[in-house]
Amino acid sequence: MSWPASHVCGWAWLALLAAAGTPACKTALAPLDQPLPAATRVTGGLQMVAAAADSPQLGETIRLVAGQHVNIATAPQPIDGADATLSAFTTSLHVESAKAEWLDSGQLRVVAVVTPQDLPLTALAAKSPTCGMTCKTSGVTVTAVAQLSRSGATVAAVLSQAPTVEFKQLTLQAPDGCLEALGPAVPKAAETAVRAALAAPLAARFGTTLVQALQTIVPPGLAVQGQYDLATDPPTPQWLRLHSSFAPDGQPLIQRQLGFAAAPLDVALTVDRASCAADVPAPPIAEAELQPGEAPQTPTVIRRAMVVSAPMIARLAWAWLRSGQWCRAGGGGLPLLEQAAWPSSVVPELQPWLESSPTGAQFWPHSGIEVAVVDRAQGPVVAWTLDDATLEIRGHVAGTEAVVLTVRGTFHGELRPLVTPSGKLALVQQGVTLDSAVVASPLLGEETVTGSNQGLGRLIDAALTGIFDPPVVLPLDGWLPPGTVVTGVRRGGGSLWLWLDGGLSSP
Amino acid sequence: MRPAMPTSCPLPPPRSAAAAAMLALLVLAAMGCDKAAAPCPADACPAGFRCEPSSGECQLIQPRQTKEIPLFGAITTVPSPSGPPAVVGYAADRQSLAALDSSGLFYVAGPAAVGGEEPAGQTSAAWRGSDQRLRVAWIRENDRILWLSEQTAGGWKRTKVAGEAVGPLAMTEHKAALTVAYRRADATGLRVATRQAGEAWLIEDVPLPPPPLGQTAPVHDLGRSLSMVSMASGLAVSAYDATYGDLVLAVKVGASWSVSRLFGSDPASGADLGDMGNPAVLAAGPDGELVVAYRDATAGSVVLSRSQGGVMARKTVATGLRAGPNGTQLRDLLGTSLALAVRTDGRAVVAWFNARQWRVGYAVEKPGGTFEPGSLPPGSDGGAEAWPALSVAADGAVWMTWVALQPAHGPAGSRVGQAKILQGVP
Repeated sequence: MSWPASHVCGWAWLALLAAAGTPACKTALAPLDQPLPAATRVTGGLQMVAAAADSPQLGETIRLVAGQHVNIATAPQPIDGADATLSAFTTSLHVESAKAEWLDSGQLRVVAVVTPQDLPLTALAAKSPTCGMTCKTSGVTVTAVAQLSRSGATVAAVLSQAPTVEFKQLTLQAPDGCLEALGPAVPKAAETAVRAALAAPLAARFGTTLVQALQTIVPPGLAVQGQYDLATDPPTPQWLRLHSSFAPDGQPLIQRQLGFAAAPLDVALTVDRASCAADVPAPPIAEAELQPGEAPQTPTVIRRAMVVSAPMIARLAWAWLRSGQWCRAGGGGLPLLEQAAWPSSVVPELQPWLESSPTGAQFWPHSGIEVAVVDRAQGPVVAWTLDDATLEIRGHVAGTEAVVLTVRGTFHGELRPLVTPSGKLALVQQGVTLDSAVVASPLLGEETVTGSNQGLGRLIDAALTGIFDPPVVLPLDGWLPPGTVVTGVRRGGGSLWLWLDGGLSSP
Repeated sequence: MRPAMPTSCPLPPPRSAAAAAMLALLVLAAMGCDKAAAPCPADACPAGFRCEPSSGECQLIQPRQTKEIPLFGAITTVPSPSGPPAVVGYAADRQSLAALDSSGLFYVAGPAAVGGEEPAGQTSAAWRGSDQRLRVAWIRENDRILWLSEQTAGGWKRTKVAGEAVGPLAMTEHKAALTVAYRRADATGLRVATRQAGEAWLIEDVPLPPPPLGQTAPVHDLGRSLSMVSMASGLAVSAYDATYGDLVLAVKVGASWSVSRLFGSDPASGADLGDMGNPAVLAAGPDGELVVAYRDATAGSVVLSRSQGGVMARKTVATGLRAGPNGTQLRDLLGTSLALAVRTDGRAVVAWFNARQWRVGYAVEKPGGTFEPGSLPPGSDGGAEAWPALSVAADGAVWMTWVALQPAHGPAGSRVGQAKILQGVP
């Protein structure tokens, strides 16, 4: 194929940046061949956070997913202490509200309130007439608490304890005293049986839903370790090594801070250097602090954010560059290049040699990359600077493709995280500029071209946009719950907040 | 196996100031040669040099020759009965198709050939038949008519071959019949014109290749690169399929064609193996095997493939890797123009255009099958080079021809350079 589509290796959105543009990742996640050094680990590089302010909506979502009406259908069951049976019954309990709350311990608690209800019941006994009665309930609350739990190296969302169902009042009223007639212990035993019959489904529904909600907010699968082979030219592998883990033993897996419940992940990331990439040291590792970002003004279902810290962004950019993915060629921006009035506005000396618009461009970074998250009118971008890079412009000369212009200098650009209409995240290259440029043509020889700043600027922007076109699209499937969408991107200090929603389905 | 370097000392050529010669000097000096011992055996000298038996020195096979004919663009060379090959190409200063033979420079088409004629000849192919007459196929761009011009005692005779033709062109003689391959004007397929008795031409469509396994989109852009060779087993035509980035091979045996994807897709799975075959050049080996030189655009390399026992064995000829700033390794844009020659002893020579450096390079296949890069005799103008062409002379010597550009003078200031880069077969 001429230009393969962007491809992603297995899980990792971390691997995405490094793997984007590779024709294929031919291997799945393989075990790490060596532990990653502690010096490569960004503490709290990623955080999954939920705002305490979103707790009312979270409670309501749990109520809707668990069921506004919990249907109950019981089989006939013997009443302890009597030769009697509580007849089968069906009913539908209406859950009128649910309140979710993040506890200081990092646990997520939900308390649901059930609408008072009268329930007709019948007790059957062999030697007595059938006893009809009414069960009156009020003040029924369901409480469930879930947490992230560590078991060895595995983290899972679990219930902290069995959910409880409390009945402020549950009475069985048999108008003619028929229940007492079955035996002195029968009223109590019947009440216990009814209580159990009502509580079990409520507890199960809310317990299951709460656990699902918690693991939607903090997917345990984000903790992963392994390596991917990015090589496009086997048999020489090029490993991207990744180790992400939740907070270590002795530290809470979910912490309350700044109005958020946050589950930090420590992320270590290394990649074998591609020969076209400069061997520059990784950016210094700094512990990431949570810097709040504004939430998007969108209706929410189960809103949470993935916070990518500034040190993590710097390390991702370093890995992306080091993997050779910036040594890219492309032709997708040709229309833009044509608009740049190529070549008359850039290098008039080339005009007699070229028969058509440029055919493409090749980018060669020669230095490390510096990144920073900054706000623009359309949203935050990751601004980058390459101190030293060369852009080669290709064109057709008498029917043969060749490099006709090279531009070497300091390049600046912006990578804009863009939410697609389908709720995915695309990374769009834009606004590339350069300074300290040396413009030359290998056809005409050094110092034979004049290069106009304005035309050159348009050319550079169009070429880099074309090289990185189509944009990398971050797939959410496989590592986030199905149905998860990105709803917005915001800046919080030097970090990027990727706001997510959806992904919680009915149990 | 690569032959052992001789114990004799092949000395550097007299023009040791040249970078290429200097390289050879360093290499040879490092081998610890003994110049007193002579003569030197075959393959003792680097490609582009020959061993002078009387002195044991490596000398340039032939200094570069520059001819004052301003050809611009791809050229075709055809062997001459003796000496350097004839060159056919587009003379930019006259906007005409030109042929340079041992007997002189001729304008074949365009205003320099026929007064008032429109510019012509930017797409051409040439062939010299057993009667030693030069034949040139070319396309008149304004009406897309394919013409054949033949050298005769009385000048050039022109006949119409076909309409609705676009380049590139390929030309050969198959079963004593002149054959021209070209691209349909709508770029959706290839056609082959075969000269019949008299002046008639048989035009036939080459069947389209099927899409790779698992793909459904029909082929819609075929033939940006085109090559053709006559083999004992049949007529072989290669074409680049831009739809899927594959090199396609069509072989005509008898009256029927068979078409397959040669490189770029896995025939068993349909998996994409890269962008291969733009361009590609075919040649026939002495044992009747098919030899293909092509560009692997994904790997950035030039590859030679030779049929061996029913499979195409591949070897990388050149990679274009070079040192970049700050310890990086960059890759030149290599082989957007390619040439291939196979001597009667089976040794292949591949020449390519380094489209990043604007230089032509070549490599010679050694007896063991490895490729040794050759050094082109250095020029004095310091200009750029492009569009290499290779031809094998009757004595087995390989000549390389290229276009030397003088940027200060524009496209019309180009010249043709030639050098013998491999001695004749002993």
